[in-house]
Amino acid sequence: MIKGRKVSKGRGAGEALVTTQTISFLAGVDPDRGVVIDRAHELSGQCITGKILVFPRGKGSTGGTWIIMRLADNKTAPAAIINIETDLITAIGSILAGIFLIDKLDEDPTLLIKTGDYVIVDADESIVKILTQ
Amino acid sequence: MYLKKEDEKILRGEQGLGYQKAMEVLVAIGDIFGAENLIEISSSHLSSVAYESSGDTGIRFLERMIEDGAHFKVLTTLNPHSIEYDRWKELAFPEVYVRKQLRNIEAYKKLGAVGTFTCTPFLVGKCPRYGEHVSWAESSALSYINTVIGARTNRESALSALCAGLIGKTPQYGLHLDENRKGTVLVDVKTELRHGSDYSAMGYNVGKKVESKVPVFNNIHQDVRGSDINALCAALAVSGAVPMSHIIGITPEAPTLEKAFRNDNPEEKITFDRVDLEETYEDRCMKESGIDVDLAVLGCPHYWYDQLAETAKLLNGKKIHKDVDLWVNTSSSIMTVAKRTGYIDIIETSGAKVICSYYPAITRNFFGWKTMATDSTKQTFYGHGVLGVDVLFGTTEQVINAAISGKWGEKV
Repeated sequence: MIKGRKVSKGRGAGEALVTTQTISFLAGVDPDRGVVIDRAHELSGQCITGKILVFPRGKGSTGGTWIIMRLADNKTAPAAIINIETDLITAIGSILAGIFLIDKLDEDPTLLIKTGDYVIVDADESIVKILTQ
Repeated sequence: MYLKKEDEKILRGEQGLGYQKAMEVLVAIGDIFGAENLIEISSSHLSSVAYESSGDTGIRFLERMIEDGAHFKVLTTLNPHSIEYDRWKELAFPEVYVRKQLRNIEAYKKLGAVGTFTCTPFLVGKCPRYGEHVSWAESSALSYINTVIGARTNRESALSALCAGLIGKTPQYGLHLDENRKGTVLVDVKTELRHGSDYSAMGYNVGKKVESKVPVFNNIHQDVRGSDINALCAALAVSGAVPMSHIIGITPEAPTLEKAFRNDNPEEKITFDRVDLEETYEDRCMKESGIDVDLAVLGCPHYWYDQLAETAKLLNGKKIHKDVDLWVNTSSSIMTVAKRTGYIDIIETSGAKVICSYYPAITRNFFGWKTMATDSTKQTFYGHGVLGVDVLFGTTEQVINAAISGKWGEKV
């Protein structure tokens, strides 16, 4: 169990999808399919729907907030987000879309959590539990 | 973050769901960035009003806000979007798409926003004063008012500015506070800058190096045009995330180097010279001379009067190539006066179009363009990334010559 900071309230669980690269949601993620479309990204072609998406922070155009809200509307959003330290685009998108978001864990989540780990995010209690497969 | 009683009531939902959501967002931003309280703002400016970005989700979100009784508390203006508002029929924008964009704009207007559709709202009736706190998105405009006027805004997102506009307040952190407005990187300009595009090139080059720090430009001519600083600010915010710069002798907070750095030493010193300038022009050109051009874009950021006058002079008596679209972007307000003055007739007689509310790099490529020439590094970035075209970067004259000949780099 690792402690962090609650950014967007709620509790979610699922399989982790982890990247050490920042994500630009606008022009980087397809809101209809929930797939990473930025060809230069290491998650290119992967689906983020229902996953616990672990990445350092968002970047790029602030219109990315709308993309996060569209993901939630289209039911293609991740189950929760874990950031090293979140940014304005990801934080606001998650709050308005109702996606649970936690950041500032005691350890770097992009190194600690492996893709495929089963992860429970309890943003309300500001904790993350990792159940390694 | 400390909240006044009236703000706590909003957070509890006593003024409806719309205001409650807006306050939740402001409180979250305040907590993330360690703000102690909310401060009153006098205006907000919204980016990402394009249907292309917000989709049907945006329409539903805004219409729900209206149903909840929300309304902007301060003067709120809007960026360009996905269609040409007045000429979409003539330019053959797909009608289904147009209807969606118009419904999106209608929702913003019902919330109380003003239909400026420009990235230069400070030129069209909403210019903040020195020291005034505002909440602006649109990276080029917010950087311009921080840099040239000394107004105070953070680098807001489309939705943080929207929430701030609804509440009339913003969390007090970042550039609202004196200590964060101090310069950190000294940029010694060691080359003559002769064209507007030179400033755009310098911004792109320096932005990559300084990321989100506050650069201090030394040795920029005191008679630099406002439109050139606008080009510089736009580019700095695209390759980096620069929310404000100091230009010695021009920025109100930077009459001298000492004042710009608030008597501290620069964290870093860099230079921008002739080689940097030439390399940036090369770097932003994806193709060689002689390639066919089918789109030429001027006016990113939206052109000022002096730039429209220059464009009219270069196009006077000329005809652009039949296979090229030359789109010159400006705000409706500037266009109205420029038309009265005669610039617009000269520009459009050549076959070029003056476009007033659409931004041809935030929308899908409706017209099958393949290769774009432009005098803006910002336009090269989004043109390649969003519009999906090959990009060519040069001076305004080079771009106009390409539009006339249909080929890049050929003199007319």
